[in-house]
Order: sequence, then C-alpha cells, then structure tokens
Amino acid sequence: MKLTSVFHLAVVFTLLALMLSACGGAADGEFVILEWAGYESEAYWEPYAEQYPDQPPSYSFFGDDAEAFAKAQSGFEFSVIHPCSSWWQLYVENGLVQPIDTSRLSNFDNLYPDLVALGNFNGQQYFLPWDWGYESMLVRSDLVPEMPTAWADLWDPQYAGHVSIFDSSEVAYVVAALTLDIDPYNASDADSEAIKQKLLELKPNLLNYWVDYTELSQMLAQGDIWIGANAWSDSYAILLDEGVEVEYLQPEEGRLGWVCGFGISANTTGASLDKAYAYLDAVLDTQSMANFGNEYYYGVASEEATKLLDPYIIELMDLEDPVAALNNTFFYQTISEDQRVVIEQIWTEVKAGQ
Amino acid sequence: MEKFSVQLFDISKDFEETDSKQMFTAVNNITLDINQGEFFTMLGPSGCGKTTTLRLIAGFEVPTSGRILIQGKDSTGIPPYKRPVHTVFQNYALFPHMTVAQNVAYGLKVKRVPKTEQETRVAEALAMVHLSRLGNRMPAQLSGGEQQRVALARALVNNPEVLLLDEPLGALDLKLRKEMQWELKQLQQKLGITFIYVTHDQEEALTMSDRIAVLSEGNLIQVGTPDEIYNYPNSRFVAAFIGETNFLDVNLDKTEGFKAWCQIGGQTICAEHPDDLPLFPGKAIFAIRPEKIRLFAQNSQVKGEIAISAKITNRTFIGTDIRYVVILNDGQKLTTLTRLNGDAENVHFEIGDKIQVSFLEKDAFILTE
Amino acid sequence: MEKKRRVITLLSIPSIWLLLFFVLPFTIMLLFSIRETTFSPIFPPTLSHYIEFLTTPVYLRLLLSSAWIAFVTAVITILLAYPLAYYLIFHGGKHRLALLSFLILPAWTSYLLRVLAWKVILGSNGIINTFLLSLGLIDEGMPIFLYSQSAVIITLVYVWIPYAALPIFSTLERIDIKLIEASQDLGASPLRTFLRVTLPLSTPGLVSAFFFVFIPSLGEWVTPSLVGGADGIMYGNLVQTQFLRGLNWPMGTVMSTVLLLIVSVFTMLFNRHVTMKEMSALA
Repeated sequence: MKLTSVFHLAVVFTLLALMLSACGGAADGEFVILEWAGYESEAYWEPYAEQYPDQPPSYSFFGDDAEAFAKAQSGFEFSVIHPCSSWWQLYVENGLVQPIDTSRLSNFDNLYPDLVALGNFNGQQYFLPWDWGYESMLVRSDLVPEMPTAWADLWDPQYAGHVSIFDSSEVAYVVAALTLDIDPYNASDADSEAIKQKLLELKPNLLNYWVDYTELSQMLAQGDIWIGANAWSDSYAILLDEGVEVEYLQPEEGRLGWVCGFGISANTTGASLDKAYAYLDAVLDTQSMANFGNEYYYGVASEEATKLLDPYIIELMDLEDPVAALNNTFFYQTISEDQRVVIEQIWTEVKAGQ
Repeated sequence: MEKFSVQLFDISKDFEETDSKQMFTAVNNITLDINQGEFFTMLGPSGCGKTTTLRLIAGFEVPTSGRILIQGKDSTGIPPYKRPVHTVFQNYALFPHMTVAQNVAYGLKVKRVPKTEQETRVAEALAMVHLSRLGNRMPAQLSGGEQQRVALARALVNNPEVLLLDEPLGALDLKLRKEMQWELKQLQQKLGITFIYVTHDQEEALTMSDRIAVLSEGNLIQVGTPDEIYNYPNSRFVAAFIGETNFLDVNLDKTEGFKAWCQIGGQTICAEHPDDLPLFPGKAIFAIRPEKIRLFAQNSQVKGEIAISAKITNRTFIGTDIRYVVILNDGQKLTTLTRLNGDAENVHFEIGDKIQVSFLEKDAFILTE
Repeated sequence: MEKKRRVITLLSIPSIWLLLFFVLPFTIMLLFSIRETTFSPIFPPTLSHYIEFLTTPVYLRLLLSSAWIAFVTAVITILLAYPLAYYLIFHGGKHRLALLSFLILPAWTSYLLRVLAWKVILGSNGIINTFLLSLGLIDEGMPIFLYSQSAVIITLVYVWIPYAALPIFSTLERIDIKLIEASQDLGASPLRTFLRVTLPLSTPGLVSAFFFVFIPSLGEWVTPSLVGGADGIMYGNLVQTQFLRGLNWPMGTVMSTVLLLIVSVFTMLFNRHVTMKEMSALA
C-alpha cells in the first residue's frame, strides 16, 4: 500500500475515534438518578411516589464513586446523584452540580449541622448528607493472641498474614496518616512520602486486599483473617448474626466515618428540577431515612430519623447519644483533584511495589 | 560363524481388528531358515504377511507364538534397539531435523563411536552409495532416489549382520528402480551381509534374490531359488503369481508317485508334480508356461514332442514376442508366448488358423491346488 | 485499476471487521494515552504519562515480575501438558481423541468457576489443608496457599493446561512413527529416541504451547485479584485500577499500549520461529 493511502486511513480513523471518545450517554427530558445499586427501594422515597404517582424515577446504577464521577464527567445526563463526601468537592470544581435552594426543602432542618457543613462550598449548599456509617477494625476476638486497640496495631507483626484491608487508595491513605499523626487533608510532599512508606511497611502483614464486603465477612468467619479493616457496620451485623465472635473496635485514634449525600445536576431545569426537589424532600423525610437505616444497618443524617431506628441498631451503632458518636468519628473530608491524583499515585506505587 | 543368519520357528502373529475387535492372523506358523550372506526375498501380494514378518525380525512387533533366532541367539523378546539388524524403511524414515551426514552417523553416535572414526565411516558409507557430496544437505532437499540411498547408508554404516529392506524401491520410477535393483545386488554381494528383502514385485524378486519365500494370507507357500520357484512351483498360487502360467483342468487317470497321466486334446500326457507330494487319481490342474509352448503349422511333422490341435483366437504383438491365445478341441484355452528371433516358422499365424501346439512333457507340471 | 482493487480489498468484510474492532479501538486507546487527564481534551497532547511510565520504577518492575510469573506458568504448564499429550498419542491407541476431549473438557466450563474452585482447594478449609491436617503435618489450616504468587501460578497452570496440550498433541501426532522405529532400529533406546528424535521434532508444538500460555498470562488480572493476595498483584491489576477507581485512563492506556507492543514483539518472534521449524518438520 502506498503511503498516502495509509495516511488517509489514519486521518479517517483518528477523526472517528475523536468523535466516539467525546460522546457520553444521554437520556433527555427524563428524571434520572445516578444511584448506588440497591438504594432504589420505594420505601426510601414514598412521599415522592404519592406526589408523582405512576411516574417512578429512572435509575442508573454505579458500583463505586469513581464510576459515578466518570459517568457524570463524561457527559452522562442525570438529574440527581448520590456520591460520597470525598468526591463532593470534585463535582463542584468541575461544575457538575448546582447550588441547592434549601428553603424549598421542608425536611432540611432535621439534618445534623456538622454533616451539612461538609456539603457546603463557597457559602452554597451543594450536597445534602443522607446516609453515613463507621469504618473500623473488625476483630476475631477469639482468634487474636492480643486484642488490638488502635489503627496502628494493623502493623503489629503478631497479626502477620491475618490482616486484610480494603482496596481503596483513600482509605489506606487516611488510616496511615492517622497513625503517623499527619492531617491527611493538609499533607506536604514529605508527609505523602512518609505515608507511602508506612503503607509499604504494612504489606508483609497483609493476607490480601478485599474488594467486596461479603468477601471480608467470609474471610473473618473462616478465621483466615483476624482483623479486617476498614469494615463497615453491616459486616459487623452480619457476622454477629452468624454467631461469629467479633468485636467492632473503637480505636484510640477514633473510628473513621463515611457520609454520602444527594446533589442536583447543573443541567437540571424546569419540570425536572421540580421533580428533583420533590425527590430530595422525600428521601430526607424522617420515615424514609429510618426505613433505610433499618434495612442497611447504617446511620442516617437526621436527628429525628435516628430516633426512629430499631433499638438493636441504635445499640449496635452506639447511637444512644448520636451527637457524641458523630463527634468521636473522623469523617472523610472532601478532596481536590490534585490531592486525589497524589493519593492515587501513592496507592499505585504501594500495590505494585515490594 | 553360525550356519543360519536368521531363523524363524513357527512364528505366528495375530492382530486385533480395529472395527470388529476380531483377531486376524497376519502371519501363520511360518518356519524359515535364512542363510548367512544370502539375498533372501519375501514375496507376495499385499496383506500376505511379508512386511509383518520383516517387522517381527526387526523387533517392532512381538510374535504371538514361536521363536526368532538371529545369529543363533534367541531374540524373540529382545527389543529392536538391541538386535544386530537394521532396517531400510519403505518411506526411508530419514530424520528431518538432521543433515544427511548426521542421519548416517546416528547409529554410530548411539554406540559412542569416537568422532574421528564416525566421520571416516560416514564418508565411506556415503561413498558406497555414491552420495559423497551431499553430507550437509537436509533430507527434504534430496530426491527420492537420493533419500533411499541415504537410508541405505545409514543402515549399512553400522555393519549390521542382517539388513532388512521393506519394499525400498516402491516409490521410485521404473528406470531408477531397475538401476537401484542392480546397485543393491552389487552392494550385497560386495559386503556379504545377509539381505532380507520384502517386495510384491515378482520380477524384482527373481532378478535380485538368492532365494525367495512366497507368502499368501499369512502362510508360507514355497521357499526356493528363483529357478525353483519359477520352474517348479508347488501350487497354483505360486505358479500364477510368478510369471504367467496356463492352467487346464484335467483328470488324472493314473498316478505313480509324483508322476501322473492325463488326457489333453486326445493325447496322453505324463507330467510330474514339482513338489515332494505324491499324486492321486482324480481331478487336478495341468500347468505350463506360455513361453514353453511352441506353435507348428497344422500339417508339420512334430518330432519328439507332444502335439495338440488347436485354433488361434487371438494374436498380440508385444515387441519382443508375439502372444497367441489358442483354443483346444475340448474348449480349453492356452496362452502362448513366441519369441521373435528370426525363426519364421512360428510367427506367421493369423487368427482363425488351425495349428498344432507343442511342448515338452518335462516343461509341464501337475498341481493339486 | 490498482487503486480500485485496493479499495475493494479494503471494503471486504474481514477488513471491515478488523478496522472496526481492532484498528479503531486501538486508535482510541492511543488518543487517550496522550491526554493530560482522563477528561482532558486531546489537544494539547502530552507524553507525560509515557515518561512517567518509563521513569517510575514500579511500572517496569511490575511488568517484569508479571513476565516472570507468566514465564514460570508457561514452563510448568508445558512440563505438565507434554507428558499428558505424549501419553495420549503414544499409548492412547484408538481412544486418544476421546481422552483428549476429557483433557479439554474443563476448558469448556466457566473460567471464573475454575479459578474459584482453586480458591476453595487452596483455602484454609480446602483440600490441601485438610489433607495436611489429617496427616498431622500442621496444627491448623494455613491460608498461605491462597493469596500468594504461587497460588496465582498454580491456578493459571491449571487453567492453561488444556490449551497447552492441544498444540503439543497435534505436533506429536504428526511425528511419523517410522522415525521412532528407525531410531530404535539403529540402536537407540526408548529414552534416547525420545531425546534425540521425538523431543526435537515436537519443538513447534512446544513453542506454540509456550506462547499460548505466556501471552495471555502476561496480562492476567482476574486470577491474581481472586487468589493473588497482596503479593500476587500483576500488571493487569494495575491497569484495572487505573481504569476504574484510579480514574487515570491515560496511564491505563499507556500501560496497555506498552503491553500490546511487547506481546506483538513476542507474537512476531513466534510466527517466524514456527514457520521455519514447521517446514522442516513436515519434510
């Protein structure tokens, strides 16, 4: 083939490729919610169903925050989205969400102020907290030679080969930072390097990284691992239910906490916007949140809703004094793109390194 | 030195048929003695067991019963790589990943012959088969005839006591085949090694062999020199397989030992059975080869020979001879072969001519089956 | 005339298929690799990710260790598959094709199921541990068989044996049995015959089998993620991270492109080698 033909072909395909790679998905005019798989139950938004009967929202599911962000950023058309706090700033920075007029929401005042503050940027409310939960170490109290008391104990050689941590860059970063007394959200380059070294030092203690919480529960139940971090409260509940002797620690450095919440797409207008507010108000309804909390063994971001939770859950989650519980929990703060890149790079090098 | 190079005692070999799982006998109770330094051929149609017998001698098959002695030593259970025999295969079986020289040297290498000696002997072997220049070629680059000679050299370089050849000339064209037949014979005579040769080509067998064993359907029919096999076949099969023979159904009126009298065309003829079996009155086969029959004009005087009236029904000119088909008074036919050697008397017959066929009684024989 | 023929060739269905499902995706990949971040536009392009790949030791080190795992896997697979195929050809008789089918059968089941089966076998309650416990060699189940590089290799070997057995089987089948007989006829024992005749002639099959196993193993990530633990991370896992949680598609495509280049080089070597050897073996 002559060189010119090859060249022409290359040009054609480059253009095609450019076009295809710029496309995203699109669903016009509908009310679409980008949501975690499993959170679509009507029990969590009954008031909306009453207001818009026979017009259930369309859901598009994601499995983790990175996936949700990628979808949103590449132009996927949605009306409402439900990401977790670390990513909130990224959505705002990239203009993917619009400020929420909280006066349109009757249930807004129920929300815990500290959690609400996390979703506030430049004086505007972009995200409304909804569900939250702990992250801690889940320990087989009957198998460990000595009960761990702090995150730092993950590094203790006496547990070597019986520790498993979540395969998440951010989680590992924050835990390591805590043990080094570094503020993960104000880390210098030297700090980040120290965190990386600390994580590399953890590797010999690890059996593996867990990706799925059922995997975590299984390994703990079988006794392959003695300490699972960062386990969520639902794993704790499941294992107790199976009769496994586990303890959900209150580490010295404090438990970690995640919180997720709702935002409205920057592109939502008109009738869709009305639906968005109606939906948000519905999920923020006390009963809705309570329904969710009882189902998932997670906390809910509303004082009133918390009171409606199952007593068993209140005891499990130490929610007799919810405000104190929240104050003792180190919640994931929002991060910028630059910070995210640094954290990712560290995790890449840790996983690949020896 | 042992009297016999290879001896087979009551060798049988049964195989299981692939489809029917029935056993079939490829070789049936064969007993043979092969002399030192002789060119011995096993001859027969396909499926007669000659190749199987050869493979039994080589050791690639184990006999179902019987014993094999090689140079006086019982080799029945001995694997091929421990027998002092080498084989030249029908498709040459040259190692494709080695050069010609490496192929030839293979057996020497196995015996750990020192390198210099290897080189010398390989060179000699290649020279013996006229392939000295081709040592560094790969087998794929050689012609069929050249490959065959490499196979020969590869076997002979090891100075085997017996060389087995399994239809080695089958894949060559006629002219090359004739050349190689001559060369092989010369080689064998020069080296004095026992050659055990397998072929289905009776002309080849007659040309090259010191002795021939004729096999059919696993059975040994006759063993003898080419002359014996040709002129004194012991059965219809051998007579028909080797050369051409006329067969006439006759009734034996009288018998005396190996002699028998019968009537053909009104004449009383006395002929013998070539084998050492007595004859009995009754039905038999009268056999005579076409070239032993001469034709005379109807009114000629035929002295000292049998003369029977006949009529010519067919005439074919085949270059060196003319073949006639004649019909006798009783309806039986004979084929005759008349050599064209200037003897005008025998060649001017046409179809429809009434003539006399003549032969010597000693050229004819009686066969019982 | 020449041009017209070229166009027609180009438009033929195989060409279109190739262009659509290979050239196009690859071009898209390359375009991603020169972006600044996952969502940046293509212009201005940057080679920063390529540079980062080459200058940060982790990537190349991981590539090398993955290559090592793939290499060991390929070698062990061949060592196990060869005797199996050999036995089938030389001792399987008329049943050999049927037996080969049994050998291949696992390959027809789900790949994931087979990997998970090994998770069970190697796990602390699995067959190996139970066996060792019953022998009294250990006191309690050790999860160490699982979640390691060895577990990855064991699992991959098991997965690949059927695929490696096939080219070896087909090459061995083509070996003229008369060559084996000729070798023995000339005085070589069965062992010597194997080493001097059978083994050299089965080289094309061995080479095929090696690449059949090595090339896919190089990019493996499912098996390492299920049974590899913290030590068994392979190159493919990192690529996965870049594309999913890491949201670093440019880096992911850079890593993929490098892998593709390496595999292409090996494939070309393989093609050259096989063609020459095949020709001489078939002579």
